[in-house]
Amino acid sequence: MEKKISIFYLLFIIVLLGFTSCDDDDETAELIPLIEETATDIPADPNRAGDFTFFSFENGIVASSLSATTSWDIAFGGTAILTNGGSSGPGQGEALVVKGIFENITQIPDEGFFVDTEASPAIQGRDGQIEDRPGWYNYTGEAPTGPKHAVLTVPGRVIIVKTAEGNYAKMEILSYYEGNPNTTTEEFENLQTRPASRHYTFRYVVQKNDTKTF
Amino acid sequence: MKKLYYFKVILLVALTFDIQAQNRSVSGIITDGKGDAASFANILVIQTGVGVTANAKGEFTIEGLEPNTYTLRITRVGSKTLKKDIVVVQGSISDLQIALQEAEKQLEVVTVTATRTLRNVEDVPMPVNVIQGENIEKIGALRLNEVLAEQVGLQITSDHGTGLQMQGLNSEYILILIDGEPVIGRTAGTLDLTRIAVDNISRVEVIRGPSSSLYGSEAMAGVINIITKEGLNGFDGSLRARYRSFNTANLSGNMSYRGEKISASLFVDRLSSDGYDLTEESISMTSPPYKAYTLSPKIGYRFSEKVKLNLNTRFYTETQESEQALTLDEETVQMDDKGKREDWNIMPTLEIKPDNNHRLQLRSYTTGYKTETSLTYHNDGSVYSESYFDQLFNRSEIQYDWYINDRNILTTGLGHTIETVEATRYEDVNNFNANYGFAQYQFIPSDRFNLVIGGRYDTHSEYASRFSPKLAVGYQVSNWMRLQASLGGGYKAPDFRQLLLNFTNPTAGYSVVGSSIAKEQMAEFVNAGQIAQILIDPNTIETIEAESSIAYNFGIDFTPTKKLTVTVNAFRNEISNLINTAPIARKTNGQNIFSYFNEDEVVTQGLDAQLNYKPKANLILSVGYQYLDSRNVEDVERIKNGEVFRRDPNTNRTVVVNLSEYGGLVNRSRHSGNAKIFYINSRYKFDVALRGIYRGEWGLGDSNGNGIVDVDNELAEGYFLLNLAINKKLYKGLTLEVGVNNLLDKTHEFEPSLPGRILFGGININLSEFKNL
Repeated sequence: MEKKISIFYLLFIIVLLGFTSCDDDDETAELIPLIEETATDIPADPNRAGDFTFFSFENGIVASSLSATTSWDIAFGGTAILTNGGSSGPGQGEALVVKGIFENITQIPDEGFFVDTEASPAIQGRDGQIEDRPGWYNYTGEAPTGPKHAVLTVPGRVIIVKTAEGNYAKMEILSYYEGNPNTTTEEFENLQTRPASRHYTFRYVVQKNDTKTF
Repeated sequence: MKKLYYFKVILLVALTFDIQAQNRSVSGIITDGKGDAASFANILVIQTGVGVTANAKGEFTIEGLEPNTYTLRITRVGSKTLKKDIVVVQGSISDLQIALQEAEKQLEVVTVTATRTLRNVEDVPMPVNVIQGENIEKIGALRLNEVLAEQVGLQITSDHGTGLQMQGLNSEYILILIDGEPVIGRTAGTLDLTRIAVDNISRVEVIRGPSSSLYGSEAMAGVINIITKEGLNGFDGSLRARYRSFNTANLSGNMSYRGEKISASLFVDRLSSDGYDLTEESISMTSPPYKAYTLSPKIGYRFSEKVKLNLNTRFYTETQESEQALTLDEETVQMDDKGKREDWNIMPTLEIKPDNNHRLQLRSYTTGYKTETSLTYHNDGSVYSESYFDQLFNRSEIQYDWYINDRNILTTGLGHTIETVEATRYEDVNNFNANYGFAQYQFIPSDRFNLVIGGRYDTHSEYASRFSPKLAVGYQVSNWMRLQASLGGGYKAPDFRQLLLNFTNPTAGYSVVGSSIAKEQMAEFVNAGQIAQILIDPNTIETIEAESSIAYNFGIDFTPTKKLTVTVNAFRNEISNLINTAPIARKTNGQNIFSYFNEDEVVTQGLDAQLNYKPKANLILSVGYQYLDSRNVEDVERIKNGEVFRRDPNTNRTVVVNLSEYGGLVNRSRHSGNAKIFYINSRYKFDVALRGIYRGEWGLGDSNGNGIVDVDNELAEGYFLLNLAINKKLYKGLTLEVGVNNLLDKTHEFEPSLPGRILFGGININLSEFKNL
C-alpha cells in the first residue's frame, strides 16, 4: 500500500454545552476528537485502463478484488468518483457536494443526498453543469489565460459522503495532480512539465458517531 | 458681454424717398474678421423672426420690411455673434456692410450630437468632447482607433477587432455614427475602429453618458459621431501620402467643389500593410496583411435658401490573407485563411428651413455590411470551411426642430428601421422591424441656466418595447465655474447572436441557440434523440429583454484663468438585464446546449478629469486621468456573504475572498490617463505633438476557479506608451510629417495591438493653399 497519511490534528471537540439543541442522548455519546486526515496522490487510473482505485476512509486504499463488498467508501477513476451504494456497490453510500469552507461545514444535512446511478454519479464532477448541483472541478479547456486543458479543483467545495457502513465523512479535494502542485506556476501551465494528472490529494474527516455534526 | 447692448450702432443709409415702394429690402455683404466673405452666415431680424442665409460670397437680402427700427442678429460658426440695429425709413438699404469678428478659439467648438441641434459645446449640459480634425492631422493618425486611444476615459480594447471602452462599458454599448447615422457591422459586439479612415474627418464628437433618448439602442455608454469635412468655397482638395513600419502605406485624397447651388466632394483612401507577428511559435500572424479601400462621394444641391438636398455615400472594402496551421486527426495541416469585409451606405437628406425658426429634416439611410471568410488547404486549394455574414439596415427618419426663440428649442422625430441578416450560423433570412419616436426640449431660462429634457420610445419586432428618458441641467456659477448634471436611461438591444444563433461546435460538440429560436431548436434536438436531460423547460423561456441602464453624470468645469481649464466629470452607470449564456439542456454526448438570458447586474462608476494649460499661445500642456470602479452586483453580494473562495496556491486549501481583493470586471483598468504637449513654432513653421498614454493593470479573467478576478496572476500589467509626431511646413500648402508611435518599443502579452515601435513619415499637399500662391 502506497498510502501516505499526514495527520493534522484540528481539534473539533464537540463541546456539549455549546449545542443547546442537542438531545440528552448526546451526553451518552463517546467524546472522540475528530481527526482531519489527508490522503495524498491516490491514483485514479493514471494509465487510462478503465480501472478504479477503491478507498476506505478507515483503511486507505482497498484491493479492487473487494469492489463488490462494503469494505470501501469511495472509488476514483479519472474525474469520476463513485460511492459505495446505488449502482456502484452494495453499501449505504450516498453523497452531496456543498459550497463552503471545509472547517466551517459542521452540520450534516438531513436530506439532499444523491445515490450513484448508471446515468449520473452522486458526486457531481464538473462544476456549473447542473443547476443547483455544484461540482468539484473545472476543466480549463482552451482558456485564454492560465493553464490550458487542466482539471482544477473548485475552491469552496466540500463533498459529504455517507460511507458504505452508514457513517458520514466530509472531504475537500485539493488536487487532481501528482504531488498536490501549485497550479498557478509556469511549470504547471506548461504541458511538458505539468505533473501527472489522475492523482487525488484530499483531506477528510469521518464522524463515526451517529451525530449529525462534524 | 452685456455691454454689447450698448454698442448699438445706428445706420441710416440711402434715404431715397420712394413712396411707391412696397417691398423695402435690406441687402448687403458680410465679411469675416480677416476681410474675406463670410459665406452662409445666418441673419435674423429679431423683431419679425424672418431669417435668411448669406450666399457663398457673403451677400444677403431681406425682403418686405416695413419702415421701422430693426435689430439684425448675425450668427456664423467660427465667428462671434453680432447684433446690429438698422433703421428702415422709406427706401431699401442696399449696401450694408457687416464685419464679423473671429470667435475666440474656445467658442468655436460646436456639437451636433448632444442634442441633435447645432449647439456650442458650452451650452449643452452633458459631458462632450470634440476632437478637431486639425489635431487628428497633427498626430498623424491613420485610423479612428489611433485618435480615440489618446482621449481621456476612452480605452482601446482588442476583442474580435479593435474596439473601445467608455465609462467602463464595452464596444457593444457605444454607438458609432458617421454624420449622425449609425455604422453597422459588429463582431461579438465589437465595431472594428480600424475600418474608419480619418483623413476626411472635420471633427469627432464624443458624448459620454447614455444617449438612447435621442439615438436608441447601443447609445448606452455614449455616442461617437464622426463629422466629415465640408469643402471650402470653390475648388479645394488635398493629397496625403504616408508610409510606416511593417510596410504600411496610406494614400488619400480629398477633392471638393462648393458653389452657390451645388457642392460635391470625393474622398478616396487606400491603406495596406504587411501586418506583424508577435507569436513566433505559431504560424498565424497577430495582425495579418491587409488592403483596405475607402471611397466616399458626397453631393449637395441648394434648391433655394430654404431647401437643401444632400447625398452622402461611403464604400469600404478590405481583404486579408494569411496562413494558419490546423490540427486535423492529429496532423498539422497548413491552411490559407482569406477574409473579405465590405460596408457601404447611402444617405440622402432633405433639409427644409422655411425660416430661421423651423427646420425639417427627412433622412433615409441604407447601409450594408458583409463578411466572407474561407479556409482552404494550402496544398491543393480545396475548401476546408467557408462562412459569410450579410447584414442590411435601412432607416427612414423625420426630424423637426422648432427654434421657438433664443430660449426654447423643441426637437421631435419619428423613424422606422428595417434590418435583415443572413449568415452561415443563422437559419433563413431574418427580418427585424422597429419604430421609434423621440422628443427633446431645450430650455434656457437665463444666461446662467440651461436644461435639456427628452425621451425616446422604441418598439421592436423581436424584444420588449423601451422608453429611454434624459434630463440634463447646466448652471454657470460664475465666470470661472460651471456645473452640469444629467440623468439618463440607455439600452442595448439583443444582437443577432443572442436572438438567432444556431451553432454547434464541430470539435467540442456543444450548441448555442438564440433566444428567439430556442423553443423550436430544442424540439428538433429532442426529436433527434440528442437530449439527455432538460435543465430549463424551453416553454418557460421568456422573450429576451434589452439590456438597460440608468446613468448619472455630474461635471464641474473650472476656468480660473484664460490659460487654465480643469474639467471633472463623475459618472455612475447601473446596468441591469445583462445578457449571459446559461445551459438549457444536456446532450447525450455530455455537452450542453446554451441559450441567452437576462441575468447580471453591473455597476461602473468613476471620474474623468482633464487639465489643459496654455502658458503661451503656441504651447499647450494637458493631463488627463480616469479612475474606474466596475463591479458585478451579484459577485459583490456573494463576496459579502462569504460565498466566494479561492485556493491558497501553496497548500491548495480553500480560503474566503475578501471584498478588498475583488478586482472588478475583466478588461477594466482602475487607473488610466495621458499627458500631452503640443508646441507650434511659427518662425520655422513646424509643430510637435508628444503624447504619453498610460493604461493601468487590468483583470484578464478567472484562473483560480472562483469566477472572479481576485489574485495578482489574474491581472495584466499596465503599460505606458509615448507617441511623437512632427509636422513641418515646407512651402505654402506642402507639409512634411514624421514621427514615432510607441517610441518606447512596448509590446504586451495581452494587448495584440502593440507591435512595438512604429516609424512613420509622409507628405500632405493642401491644394487650396497651393492655388493661392
